[in-house]
Amino acid sequence: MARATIPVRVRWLATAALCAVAASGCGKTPEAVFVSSKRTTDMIRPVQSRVEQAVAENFGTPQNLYASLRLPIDYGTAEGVVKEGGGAGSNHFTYEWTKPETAEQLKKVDLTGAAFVWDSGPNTNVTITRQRKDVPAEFQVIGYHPTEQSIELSINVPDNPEPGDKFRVIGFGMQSGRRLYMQHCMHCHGVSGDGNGPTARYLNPLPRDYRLGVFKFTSTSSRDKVSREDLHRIIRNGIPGTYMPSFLLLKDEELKAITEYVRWLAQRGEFESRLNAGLKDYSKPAIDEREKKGESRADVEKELTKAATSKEFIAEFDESIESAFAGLSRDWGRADEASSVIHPKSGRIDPVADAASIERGRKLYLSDKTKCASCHGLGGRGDGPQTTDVQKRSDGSEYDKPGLFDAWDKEIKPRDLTQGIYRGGRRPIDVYRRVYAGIKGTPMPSFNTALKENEIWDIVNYVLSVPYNGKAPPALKEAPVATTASTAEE
Amino acid sequence: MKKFWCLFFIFWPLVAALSFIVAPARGWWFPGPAASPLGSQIDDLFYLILVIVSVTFVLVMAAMGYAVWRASHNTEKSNFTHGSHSLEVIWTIVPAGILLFIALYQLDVWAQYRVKGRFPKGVLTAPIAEVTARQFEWRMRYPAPDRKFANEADVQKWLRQPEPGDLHSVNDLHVPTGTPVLIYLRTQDVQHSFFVPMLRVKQDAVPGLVIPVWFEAINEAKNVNPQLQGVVHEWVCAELCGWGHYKMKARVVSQPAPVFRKYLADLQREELDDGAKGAAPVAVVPGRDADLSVAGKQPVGGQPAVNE
Ligand code: HEC
Ligand code: HEC
Ligand SMILES: [Cu+2]
Repeated sequence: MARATIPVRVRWLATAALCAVAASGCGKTPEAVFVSSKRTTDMIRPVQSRVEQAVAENFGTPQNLYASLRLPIDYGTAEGVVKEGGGAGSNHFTYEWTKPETAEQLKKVDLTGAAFVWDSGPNTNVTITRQRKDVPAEFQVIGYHPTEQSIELSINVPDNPEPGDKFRVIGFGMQSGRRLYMQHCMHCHGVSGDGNGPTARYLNPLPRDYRLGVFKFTSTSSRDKVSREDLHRIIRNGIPGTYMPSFLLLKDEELKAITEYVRWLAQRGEFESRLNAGLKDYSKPAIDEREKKGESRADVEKELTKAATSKEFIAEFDESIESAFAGLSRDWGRADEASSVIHPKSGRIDPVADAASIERGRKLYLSDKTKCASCHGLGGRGDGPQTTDVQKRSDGSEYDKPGLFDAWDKEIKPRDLTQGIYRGGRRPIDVYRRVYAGIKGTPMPSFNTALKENEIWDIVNYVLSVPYNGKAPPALKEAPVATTASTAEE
Repeated sequence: MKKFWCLFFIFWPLVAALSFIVAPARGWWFPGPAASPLGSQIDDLFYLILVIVSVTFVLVMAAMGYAVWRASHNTEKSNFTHGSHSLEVIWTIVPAGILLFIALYQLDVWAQYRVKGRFPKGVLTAPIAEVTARQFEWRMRYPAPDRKFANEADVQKWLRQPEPGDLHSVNDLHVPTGTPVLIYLRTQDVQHSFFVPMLRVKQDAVPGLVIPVWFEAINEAKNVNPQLQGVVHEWVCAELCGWGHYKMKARVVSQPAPVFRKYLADLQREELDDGAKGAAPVAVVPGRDADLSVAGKQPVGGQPAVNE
């Protein structure tokens, strides 16, 4: 399994937390853990532990993250070469960074705890014996001394590294991402990114559960994942109208580190649900179903347990791990390709020059072609008839309550368009993308096939005019320039 | 023991006098010099009051120490007396006089800050932005850059009904430096408080009210952030408004007028972006790490394979 280990150095944090708790006297803080999804815990025991083991072996624990190199994640990597080895059997050597332009920056980063990989030289294929088996050694940086330019490793090298031996240090970006995430986001989004942090229950809408790998406000087409730029933008600007705050004052590199960590959590969650996808037969609901049909529960469980330990099952399961990795790396990789981003070919129709645009948009909004009004209501107040109908799940079963539901099985209201609050951003391109690709994970559908580009612009003009008594913001006169420089420098 | 108490009472005025002098001089626990003219006047008031209380404190402690010292030589049993009528009158009238003096003396600064009639000319009809507090963020609405307000009624109309040309931002208020600026402050939910320590402004945002707040930022060259070409002032919520109160941290950026106008123009261009003219930069974050493509070749990882 290609991966590397990053242990945490949170001891001082834990100590501080303990002192704080001791001072306030409210008991011990629980240690951060990644929790399994309900679908996993619904499996029969042997299957559940197999899934949990697979996730843990590829992603680690909050204290000891694994950086799976097969995922399209920038863990923070530095390349270097050995200047002088410390001798065979020693664990230290002096180095030089390959890219001199990053050397200054790397002086300020704490590399302790990051994974270490030999790319050339005699130590490339070092193995150690573990559980009666030789496995590739996992090197880690345990001491980093940028002034002396020396590195200490967790394992002694059998051969003296030769000058010029190449190596990589991996994972320092993840470490800072995790630290920032635990500080700023965890209390809402949870340690595992399950949207179930300690403050989540006070919020409506709930914090995003990343584990489906689904994000709502993206610039990518409806079949694509969220891009790094989208996440960066959302974290920087917050989501108006919800409790998702703006983290504008964080430094750019901090935002980047958090973005990667969120992507990693999402991929971890999605990895788990991809493994589960093929195992429905082994879940409690499936067993309940069979019991209802008259089979004996004990027999069913026995049969499934036997099946779950068979050679074929294990081979298939191993294959599903491979295909989960392949799928994740393909889908998440594609989201950052320029071709995945929705760019209308022609610019927005100017609602001032073409005054009829808003009216055309209004007609489309009310038409049967779009059915916008069936959700958002005739006046745009989010009170269309679909909000009082009983809706169906994707598997055909009905919800027990009337109203719309999202991919997380939570009730959801179509937006009140008269408020002029756009969670995914108020730029015309944002609203265009919402209509073009729909809002992922919600009932709001994509209209890229039903509507032509100029029709979408007419609708955008109409939507933007609703809060202003029928007048829409003017169209852009000049080409947009890159966003204004506004990163906080302390 | 008696001596101890005398020394005790003399010790504190010494510590106090020392810290009253050292702390402001060295800037300990102080938010730095005011970055606004009215702020300097507020600072002057603060120092005046500091001098009055320190002198009073030192005198009172000295008198107390002296009384205890003198009494320590007295071996007679204590007995009750009514005390001194005239002394009581004095220590009532003198503090009352001091308080009255402070009350009258600060009126002018207070009026400049709070009384609409004393606001700098024209600011009431040239608001920079409407600032709306909500749990837990600050949302800005700037009037369109070419929007001119005819009179206060026109401003009121703009406050009641948003206009299509308005510009929006969050947690980031930009203002021109060297000229009085005015914001209209409101809240969407509970009470919050607009507090910019460097500018010495603090104003509660009260549900149901739209409160005009003016200030003037003077940029000092050494504080200018070269990237923003302006000074960044920390801005916090000063009213415990809920569990996320601490998150309401934002910034006020004061920039020279041309830079401020450019900021608004950029904001407008960004807000009207239709994604078609001149594609926005795609990679704000580093592209996928090219290294990762070699991952398959790289035997990293140690524990036994998943299924043995
Ligand atoms: C006060 C609670 C809170 C905190 C703190 C918080 N969030 Fe959120 N976040 C939310 C809520 C609520 C939503 C869902 C909004 C919605 O569904 O429209 C959300 C949604 C998101 C989304 C989903 C955006 C999308 O397009 O679907 C991302 C990504 C996100 N948050 C990242 C973060 C990160 C990173 C942090 C920390 C730096 C953070 N959040 C801190 C409450 C919070
Ligand atoms: C099946 C119901 C449904 C239909 C049909 C529908 N919407 Fe929506 N729409 C929603 C829901 C639900 C949301 C809220 C999603 C969320 O939680 O962010 C939404 C949100 C929106 C938003 C807010 C986006 C933002 O950034 O906050 C806009 C604008 C919008 N819809 C416009 C439209 C238009 C225009 C149409 C027709 C072309 C349409 N919707 C059709 C259900 C629908
Ligand atoms: Cu507040």
